[in-house]
Amino acid sequence: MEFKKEQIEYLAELSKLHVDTDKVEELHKQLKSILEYIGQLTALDDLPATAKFDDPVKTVNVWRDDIIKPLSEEDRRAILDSAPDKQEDLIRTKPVFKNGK
Amino acid sequence: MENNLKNLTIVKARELLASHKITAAELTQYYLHEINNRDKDLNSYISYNENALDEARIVDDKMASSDSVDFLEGIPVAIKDVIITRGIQTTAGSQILLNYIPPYNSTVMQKLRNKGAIVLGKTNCDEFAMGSSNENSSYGLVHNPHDLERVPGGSSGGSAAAVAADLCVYAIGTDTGGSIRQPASFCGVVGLKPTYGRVSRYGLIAMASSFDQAGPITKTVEDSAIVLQALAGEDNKDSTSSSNIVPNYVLEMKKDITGMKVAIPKQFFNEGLSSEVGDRIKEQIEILRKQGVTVDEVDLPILDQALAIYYIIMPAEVSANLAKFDGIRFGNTAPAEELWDVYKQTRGRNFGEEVKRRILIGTYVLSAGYYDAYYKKALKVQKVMKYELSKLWQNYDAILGPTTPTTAFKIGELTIDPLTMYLSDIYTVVANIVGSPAISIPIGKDSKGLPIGLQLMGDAFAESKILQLAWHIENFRN
Repeated sequence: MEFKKEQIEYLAELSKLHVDTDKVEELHKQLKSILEYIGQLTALDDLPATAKFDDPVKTVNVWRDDIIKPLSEEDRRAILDSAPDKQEDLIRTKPVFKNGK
Repeated sequence: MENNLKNLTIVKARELLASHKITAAELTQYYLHEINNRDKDLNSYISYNENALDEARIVDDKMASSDSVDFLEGIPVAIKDVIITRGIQTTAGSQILLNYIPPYNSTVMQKLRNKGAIVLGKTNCDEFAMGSSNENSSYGLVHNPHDLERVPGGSSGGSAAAVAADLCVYAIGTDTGGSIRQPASFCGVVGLKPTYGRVSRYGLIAMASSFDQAGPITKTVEDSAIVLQALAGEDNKDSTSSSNIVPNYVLEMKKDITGMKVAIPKQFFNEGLSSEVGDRIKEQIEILRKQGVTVDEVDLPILDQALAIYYIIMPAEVSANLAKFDGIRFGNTAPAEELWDVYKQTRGRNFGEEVKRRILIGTYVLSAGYYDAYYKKALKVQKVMKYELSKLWQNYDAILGPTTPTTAFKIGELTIDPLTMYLSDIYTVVANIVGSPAISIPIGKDSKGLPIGLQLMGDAFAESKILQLAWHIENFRN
């Protein structure tokens, strides 16, 4: 599985991460060497069988019902105040679509 | 007064407080003064708790009207900046959280507060705890107190440096692949990563949720046991926290070690290990044998896969966990006309290089076409490793080896090549992959005068056993 430079642009788009064009070359070199290293696992094909439940630290999902708890005015204020852009008691964002589209 | 305050442990500080030889306010004042005088050479703190002295006076009043002094009461602590502290800036070492003042406390912080601990400030770390040298902090690098031209390790580099330089009594760090133990080893202090689920993760800014744990960085093994005692336990805010009973670690730790069994994996003494580090570890093995501990070499080839497993599962979780930093609800934001651009620019401008690399790698190993080959395979090999180690725990109380392949390296020495930097975690990631507890303790110095760390790893929830061996090693040495 060769890792190509063009894939960086695609990964950056998927992860909503702007990457400067002049950084792509170096980034490609670094990611390629990391992927080559971790690729050693893909070559392992004679793994011993393990039973379903012999995990010593149990990984089970713990679910509970949603509970609505009242929030103090102080906490509500603090949470709102954390937002960089506000309009009255609402957090404001930029439009999802361009004007007129 | 000042002379007898140098290198105070929790045990000693509590004695002084309980016998009224010193007040919490005096102790806090002493550390604030030391930080002010000496931290400019180290940069171990990012921010300070402006209310520390007032809080210490309140604790003094409470202690004056009470018969007993609790273990951490009135004792100054430093908190790694990935741990959420209500009302105190929490940056995770990132520009994306510049000026972020959390509206709530992590459970770790709340437990320390309830015990009357005095928070001095927030310690420097690699951005979002991603790094092994503290050079990835956007608030400047941290210098190793043993040699200012060298790194303190990472990612809890500020916490370890602050303890080693005596700029706090103890510190709290977090460990996802070695971030408590590796800097503790580089700085010559004790660092303990608890079992996954032993300490609540509520309010730790998540890096890899299935590996992260908070734990103590201290001057002695006993201090680590005391802090773990205070932090451990079930928390309804973290569904992965365990309801297992928390033992009395300090009592358990001092029990006789005769007859205990320790395994030494061949794989931990590979060609990457510096001979000086290896020799010092072997000396300790002989001392343990003389104390009646059985030490056997074991062959665990699966350990050679540890770093590859780690660098697949961890970035996968990173790419999901860091999606929440979008510049909308909190933290830094970048100007742009459209929402998608706000996300991209905010993240592109405010995340550092290592964070970007891990997000991209994580996105890659989770994406269609690569998921089975990388992520799913890593989970399978992780399971095999857990299975192999669970067989080992039937015969052994602990795995012993070096914490790191080398002692502290020079600032800038490994920054060009991220993969070589990752190799400094090769012995520590195993504990995170299988969820085990592990401790690093200092066992002396190399010919350059740099500290060497020994690591002990145990079965899940067997903190008592590794503390027991660690405490005895520490005390045979002294």
